Amino acid sequence: MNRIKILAVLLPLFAAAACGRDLNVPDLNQGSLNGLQSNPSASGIATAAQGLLVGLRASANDNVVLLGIMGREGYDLDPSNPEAPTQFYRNVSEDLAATIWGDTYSNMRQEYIILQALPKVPGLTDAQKEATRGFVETVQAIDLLYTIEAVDDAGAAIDVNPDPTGNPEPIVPKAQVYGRIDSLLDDALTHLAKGDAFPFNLGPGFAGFNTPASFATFNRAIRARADIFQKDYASALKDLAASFMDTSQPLTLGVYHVYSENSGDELNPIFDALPRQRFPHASLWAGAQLRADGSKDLRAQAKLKPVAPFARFGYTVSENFEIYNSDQASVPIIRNEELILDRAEAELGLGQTAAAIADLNFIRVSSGGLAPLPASYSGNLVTELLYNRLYSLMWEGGFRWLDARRFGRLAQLPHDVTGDLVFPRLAIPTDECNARAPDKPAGCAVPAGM
Amino acid sequence: MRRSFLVTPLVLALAASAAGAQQQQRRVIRGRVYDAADNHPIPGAQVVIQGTKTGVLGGPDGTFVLPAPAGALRLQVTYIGYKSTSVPVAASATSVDVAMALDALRLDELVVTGQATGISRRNLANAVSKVDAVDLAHTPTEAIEQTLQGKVAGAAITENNGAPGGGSIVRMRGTTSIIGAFTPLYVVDGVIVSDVSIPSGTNTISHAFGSAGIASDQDNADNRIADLNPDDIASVEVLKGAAAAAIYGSKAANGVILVTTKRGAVGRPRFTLSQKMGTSEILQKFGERRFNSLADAQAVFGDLATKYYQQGAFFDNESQLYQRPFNWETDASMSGGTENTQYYASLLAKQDGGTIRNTFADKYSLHVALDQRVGDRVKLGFATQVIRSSNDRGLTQNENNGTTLLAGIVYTPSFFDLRQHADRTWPVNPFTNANPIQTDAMFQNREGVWRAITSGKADIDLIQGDKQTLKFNWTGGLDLFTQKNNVFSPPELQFEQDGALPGTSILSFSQNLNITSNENLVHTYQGGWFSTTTSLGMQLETTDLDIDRTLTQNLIGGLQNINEGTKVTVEENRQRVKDHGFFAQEELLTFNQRLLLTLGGRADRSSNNGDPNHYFLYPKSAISFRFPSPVHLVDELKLRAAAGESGNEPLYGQKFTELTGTNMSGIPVYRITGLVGAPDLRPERQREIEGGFDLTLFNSKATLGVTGYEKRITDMLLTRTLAPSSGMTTEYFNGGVMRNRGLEVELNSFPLQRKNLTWNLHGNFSLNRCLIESLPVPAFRPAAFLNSNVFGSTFIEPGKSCTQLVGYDTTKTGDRVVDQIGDGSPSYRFGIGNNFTYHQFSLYVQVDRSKGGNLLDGSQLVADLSGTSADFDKPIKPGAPTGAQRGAWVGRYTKGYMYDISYWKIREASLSWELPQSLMQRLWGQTRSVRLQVSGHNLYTWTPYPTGDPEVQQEATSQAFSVPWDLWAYPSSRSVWFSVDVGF
Repeated sequence: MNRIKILAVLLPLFAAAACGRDLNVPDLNQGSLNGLQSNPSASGIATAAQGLLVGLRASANDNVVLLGIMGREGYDLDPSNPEAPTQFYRNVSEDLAATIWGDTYSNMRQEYIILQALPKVPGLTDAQKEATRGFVETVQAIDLLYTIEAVDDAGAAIDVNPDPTGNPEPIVPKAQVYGRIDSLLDDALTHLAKGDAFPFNLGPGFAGFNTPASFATFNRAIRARADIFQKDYASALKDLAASFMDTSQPLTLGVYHVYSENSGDELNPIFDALPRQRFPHASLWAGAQLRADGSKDLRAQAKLKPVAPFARFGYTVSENFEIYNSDQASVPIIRNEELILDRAEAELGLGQTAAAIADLNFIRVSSGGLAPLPASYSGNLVTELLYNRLYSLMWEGGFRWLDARRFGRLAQLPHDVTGDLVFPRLAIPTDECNARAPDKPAGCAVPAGM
Repeated sequence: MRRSFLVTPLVLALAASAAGAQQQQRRVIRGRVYDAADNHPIPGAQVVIQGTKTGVLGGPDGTFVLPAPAGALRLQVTYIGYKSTSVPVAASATSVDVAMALDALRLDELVVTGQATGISRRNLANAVSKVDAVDLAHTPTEAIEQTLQGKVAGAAITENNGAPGGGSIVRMRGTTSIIGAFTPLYVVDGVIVSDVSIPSGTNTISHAFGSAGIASDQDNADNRIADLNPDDIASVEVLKGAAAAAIYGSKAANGVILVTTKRGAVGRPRFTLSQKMGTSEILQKFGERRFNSLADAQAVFGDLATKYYQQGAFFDNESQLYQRPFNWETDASMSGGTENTQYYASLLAKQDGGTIRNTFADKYSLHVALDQRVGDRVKLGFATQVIRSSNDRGLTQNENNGTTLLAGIVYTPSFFDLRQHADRTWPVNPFTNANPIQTDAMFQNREGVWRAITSGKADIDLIQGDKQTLKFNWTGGLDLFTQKNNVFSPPELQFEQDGALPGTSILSFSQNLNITSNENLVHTYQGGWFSTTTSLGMQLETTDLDIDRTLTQNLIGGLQNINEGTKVTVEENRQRVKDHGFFAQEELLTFNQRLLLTLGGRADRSSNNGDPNHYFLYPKSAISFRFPSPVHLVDELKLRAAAGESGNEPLYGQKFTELTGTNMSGIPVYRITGLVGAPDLRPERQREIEGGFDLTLFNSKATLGVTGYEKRITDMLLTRTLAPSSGMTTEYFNGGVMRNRGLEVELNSFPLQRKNLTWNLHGNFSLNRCLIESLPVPAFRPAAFLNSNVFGSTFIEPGKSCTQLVGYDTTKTGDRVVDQIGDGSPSYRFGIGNNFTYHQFSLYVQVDRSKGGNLLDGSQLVADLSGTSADFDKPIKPGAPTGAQRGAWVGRYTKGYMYDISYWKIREASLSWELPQSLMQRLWGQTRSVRLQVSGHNLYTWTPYPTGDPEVQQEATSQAFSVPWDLWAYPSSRSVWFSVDVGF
């Protein structure tokens, strides 16, 4: 009976010991978002602000590739995803904008979190907070610009909803979205002016633009792009003047997404080493203007490389892209060459033909190695503008599609295979529409192709 | 050597203890227990005086000596595998012989009802399926799940594909969870063992899941339960739902598979030796298109075709990948013991070659079990298995860069020869970036696992009264394994040469430790007209998993070491789970052992819950009643009903909202992850009601069990895809109601039972319907890998099937609509097994049938669009669409590629011959049995599914989560074996 007594004592002790155990196990793998929101530190905010550039970088692939494919800058002929061509050109998927929206709004969520936390951060001076706010709002405006570029008339939500699991913010018309972009950029500019230095590292992509003052010229450059997209040419000229646009500087001067082989960093997703997936549209090489010596536009020569011709899914390929030639090649966010072309477009829109021809010629000569247009040029200057924008900004942000849409020339983009159509915009992604059911916005439908 | 001198002390000890309890003892009964059929002694049978707790164990020669009170009494004699027998002993008698009959229908088999209690099948109130070793081992298989296929009503067991080394999904009674764990809990000898799938890292090579992340769910990982040696298993009990499994609390909602391994038995040492040899081959090739003209080839490949087309050339590149391997397996075991000590030990060595060249799965295991009595009140048991399993599963399935083997075949026209040149160089494939035959020859995807599963148990009889007993039981142990994965893609491979960083080496180390500790107190009381069993218990369970991966690219000189490259990426992922539970149960057996009532419950808490210290209660109850001989030809009818609740706890990490740390050119950055965790996350709660009846028919020639059930899962663990404009992608939360209703039938019968001829027919049938009853949020697509209309997606929608598939359909007027285009779940399935024995011959055939359900045939879709499907120009059957015609469905008519996956399969067949005793004795006097057998697994399949096997899975996820799809899975295979089993 002794054993029983011993056990009778021991068993409740075992049980009690087990009851008393705290089973809490912390997150062993990742940091906590809650910590950043409720108890932000200066270093946490700085690390999160640096993260906005990674978030922005996520959009690069779709801006270049997806919009580029929609506008016939390139084809997606990935053998592993043979459904792609029909999804872009014939039976268009409602979900093409899903990654764009996912990336931009995810960054906007992080921007929202930083802006909410910023006033509470100990250890940052007011000037640092102002600079941070100016930076965050500028990136926010770019995110919103990427969002609306893709879906255009469908409209978009201009903010993330404060509670991510609550009802989404309303979808507002395009004009209101651009209005929000403008006001964000302008507000950012005033904050940047009050800042002295950024309390975080913008990385090599922002070399030369990493103080609040120099960053402000980038802010204005983005504002100028938004002006051009809104055909607000007077504002465009004003903003371009305050931007880093400079015909005495290299055309490559600007701000870039950067990539590296560091563990945890990303490689350039547009670079297709093999290549097997993305190829330039046949019209790019064919349509390049000839130089005085009969060779092709220098831009075509530099950015395209002839390969042994082949066909896939009915599309014929004879060139590769040479624009991004390594897995660490940078992708422009905005650069001098675009700004000069933006100025040409604004001047053209305001009837300042001579100034426009001068700017176009600057690009034709310095970038394309082409002969300048005569001052008395009688051809269609819009055609000439779009030609130069295509060859200068090829595979950098879907400009062929965006430009054709802005000038009502979508139907004139090439149609390669019988049944292929050009679509003017992407639909609002399905998950966005499902979350708003049953009141789905009109933009959920795929528009008619042309 | 006779051991009677060892037996005596035990008998004396038992006698003495009985003497203490039983003062009025007057006489000693001597007896012998033997097999009624062949007069062989039955060693170790339990002999108890009915209505008391007084009893003894029989000796190795079947004899027993039992001190007994005066007067007439009855002895209850039980032994595993035999019908329990009750014999009268007259007041004057001092000796008795007990003949026992084999329990072919296993009515007296003990089936688990609690952590430390069981009850005979005769009284069982739940539909628990139990499969014994003899029924498990008709043919050699890769893993334990495969041995259960088609043998358990309500269990849907599908092999992910034909890769060697296993990899299966087991689903019990329908879809039980959308994002929570969906596979059953495995318990081996009381220890919860890991069934985790740890991917190898081939995602780096295939980019199947995109370029982010070294590994992905599409790496074709095996699941770790495959490590167990099926030959070591004595029995498997399958608790299918909450009603039976509530004793496992918040881990039981997907069912529990209780594995009992073999242990020693009282008797002379027994040795078995088994040698198996065989081969396997793929069930079906994918097939390649023959190009009849240059124009046809040019239409697909443009100018490239002009350069390489040869009229009439057809190189069967696909067949170059396959082989018929030589497979073998050697098992040896040894067992025996005395009343005090029993032992069992076994060895396994097994090598399976894959049907794709250079793939394989090897397994070596050692199993030792020891049971020891200490005094008359304490029994200790110990078992350990040490397992080495290793495999190479090749490079198959989805890709996004042309690297996987069958992708390379599909992208290459059949007029191009991919075989190695005579000078040992490889042709550079101009049509895609890989030469799959080169890849097959040089690519390595090695996995090596060392595993130790150790369990211990201690039974202490605290009270051994005449009317009551109190027993303390401890069961526990650990499951420890390390898994090492080496993926090596040498720089010589064409796709590595073409890439930016030629040469890839990935080294992954994973370590997992599960610890289980169960303490139970079991009290039994034997009243005059009733008996009760009361149990109280406590369980502690922890899991600790750490996975480290290192990826090195741009290998210097083609060396495999992870320091020999220029780009290094590392990852680590850790998971730790701690669970704690209490368990209490009361069983009442009364009304002449006809009525069984059970009430019980478990209270659980888990670190995976939002509040780790909150207890969740899972009650259960059950009732059964037996009616002897209610009508003619029916021996017995048992009505039963059970209800219970169990949980499915959240997975590790689902409660956290995280910030992920990454970098940009060396600058540290935080990114939000898009996942909104739930700080108040709770387990899913499953409430199951089941009822049914069991019939014993025709003078114990057949049993029939019919069970209906309804499972309602409330507080479902859900992920909702949020509006992209919220900036987050996915929210974890509890809510909604899912319901499964189903019917199961199990039959076991002996239509023929003659002296030299028996026919055993057994079968099971199950059907299940799953429905989403309600959702607290709008209907949504789970955040799965494939969730687009073009390939279809699951869609969680109130009032609809949990596994409905939604995607593009085309109306009669030619409009594209998004519509329900199929369902992932079959409507019913059944399995039928036949075992004929004629003299020394026996023939066993098992046929499985599954009806309904859909699968997206991605292999066909991609081949159609690539212009290389075998039936591109000419349909296989007149009137069927050609590959060219199907290609136009993409983006408009996903339904066309959602194929019916009904099938009939000859799952197992075997023919064996037992050598006659006379012949054996002449060969070698020590031989107990010799059996020669030929057998086959997955011998033949009839199915409307066009490509390969309809049971394949690209991703191992819950059915309600992701669309079932098949893309170049490792082909399923049939295997045949010849084996010799010797016992002595």
